[in-house]
Amino acid sequence: MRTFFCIALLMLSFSAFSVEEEKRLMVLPFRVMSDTLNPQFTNNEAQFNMQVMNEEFQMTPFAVRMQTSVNGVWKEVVLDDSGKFNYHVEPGTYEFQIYANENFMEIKSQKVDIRPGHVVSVQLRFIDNYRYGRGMQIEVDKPVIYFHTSEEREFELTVNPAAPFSFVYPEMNGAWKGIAQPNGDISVNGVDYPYLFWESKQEYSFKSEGNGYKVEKDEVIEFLSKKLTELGLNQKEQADFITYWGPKMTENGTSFVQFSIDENCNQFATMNCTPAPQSVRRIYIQLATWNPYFENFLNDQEFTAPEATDWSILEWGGFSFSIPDLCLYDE
Amino acid sequence: MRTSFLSLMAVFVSLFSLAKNDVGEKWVAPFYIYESMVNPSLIPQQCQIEIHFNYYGDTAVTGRRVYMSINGVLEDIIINGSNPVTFDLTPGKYLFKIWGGPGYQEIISDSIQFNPQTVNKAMARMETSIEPVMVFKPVIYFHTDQELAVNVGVDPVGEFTFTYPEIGNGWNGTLKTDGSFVANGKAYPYLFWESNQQYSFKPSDNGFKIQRDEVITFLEAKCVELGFNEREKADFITFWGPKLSEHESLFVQFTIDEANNQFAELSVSPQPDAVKRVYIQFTEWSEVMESYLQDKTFESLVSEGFTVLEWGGFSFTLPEMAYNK
Repeated sequence: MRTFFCIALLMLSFSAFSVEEEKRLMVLPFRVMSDTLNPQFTNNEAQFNMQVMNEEFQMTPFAVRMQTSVNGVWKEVVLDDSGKFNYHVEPGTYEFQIYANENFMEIKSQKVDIRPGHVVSVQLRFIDNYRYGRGMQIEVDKPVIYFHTSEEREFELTVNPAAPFSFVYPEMNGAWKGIAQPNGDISVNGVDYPYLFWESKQEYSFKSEGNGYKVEKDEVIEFLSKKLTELGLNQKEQADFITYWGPKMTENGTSFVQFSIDENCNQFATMNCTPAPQSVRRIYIQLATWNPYFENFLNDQEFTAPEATDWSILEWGGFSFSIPDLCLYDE
Repeated sequence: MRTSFLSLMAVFVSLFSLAKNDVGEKWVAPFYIYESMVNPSLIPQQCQIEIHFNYYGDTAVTGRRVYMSINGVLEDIIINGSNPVTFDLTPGKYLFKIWGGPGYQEIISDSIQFNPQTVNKAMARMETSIEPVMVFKPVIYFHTDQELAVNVGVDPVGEFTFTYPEIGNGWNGTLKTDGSFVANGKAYPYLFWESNQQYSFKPSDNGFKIQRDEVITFLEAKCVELGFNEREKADFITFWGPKLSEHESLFVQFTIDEANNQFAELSVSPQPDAVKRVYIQFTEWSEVMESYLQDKTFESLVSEGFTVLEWGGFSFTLPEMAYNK
């Protein structure tokens, strides 16, 4: 009991003192610097001038390319020597996403208005995970694979994770070979398993998946039940999912949650099954303790379940990640 | 730099004031010198320290092993009755680390000055260790040959951190013959709870040393002995296997049935024909666990009538000293 109090106190004292420390880490990733009129532009023209502030992207021997989205449409941009690029646009309201590479967290802007003939200058500061020594190594936890089949079916399934397996069950020699049963059981070497299981330790940097939710501790079960029903999980699968991820979310207090769905899960592992399933549903949940950085990434997307078929696969997994404790502010 | 130093200072200051307030006047240091006398028969390059080991709430201490280091040099001590253990030292400053073995708190003294030709009597109070652990994932499965209305209660020693479905004042529902628990129109394959608790190592009647590459085979064998069905076995192994596999080598023990009332009491009505409760506990292997190794074959849960299986567990830690041997 005493230890507990000491720890609580320790945390209190640290948080009280760390405000000063944090200020030095504070950065606004997307910051509008100026808004001026360019007399040479017509009324149908406007321009965003983007300046990447991170030195890593300036004076590089090769041209730096980044994936960016303008109002949800993704395209590649090429930076000049001094880390600049621009968007020549029509006047209106814009929202940007910029993803440099796997070493930096994605930047997402709020909505920015640009008036006819105007030039808006923006500074971009990417947050580097390495610098803070955190948030890089993740464990892709508990991907479990279920089969749904209308008849007994022999299958061969390979999983190629982005980094080596840390655990598999049942044992797999290159591939799982077995028989899927209509009741969901999977027979491998004469033993029935309810699902196939693997885990792998990987590198990750926050990347938006287009959906994002802020979930309070006491909404966890309700939130997960709703999302998993939308995604088409049956009650047994939901119980397995919720009893695994629910406690982790509850521990966060308030969580940021996003899901990678279907092909977007290929970044963690690709999967190959013969005979080819008529439908595949893959869901990777990604969790972090809530941080204001995520505010721009909230997007309450509704999912739709895949149509029921005679031969389908469901896989779910996920991981927790952390980002530096930033407090975002305008200098 | 200055800020973090200041905050550390503040933490230490608060720790001290808190420790005093919390335990009031009764608090006694775990290690203290209660007598220091000059003995002229000792030479000036000599001093002695006699350590009395006082096992909290336990007097019969003969034969017990104490792990101890003096200024980082390890001493292996077997206690002989209530006799103190005497060390001949050269005068100077000494720091003592003392650990009474699994289940006891590690004691770390200040750096204490011993003067020439003195005999110093010290008391080491060996208190049982209390470690916060998360009792992970106890899940409760049911087997029944007929549909049954049930009421299930769990009374954990600590607080619930998560239950599924939400337990409220107990889980009330209907059991189906496929084992599912139906409540509010939803079918659950099992009931789930988790809780934060305080734990102090207690030996069980079994203890195993397992290497990383034996984890799956070992867990499979134990699950089969205990009467887990295939679904229960897969759930158990996919939950605990990865956690056990984080260690090269482990000590594993199980507590079975009533022994688990130390973590939570389980009540089921109507009365089941049989209940099997299995809690796995493990820690990274250390030679100090050698004396707790005890092979055991478990009794299987019977497979007839209305039966209940619960499994859960946690990992615990030993002081760093346990790995210096």
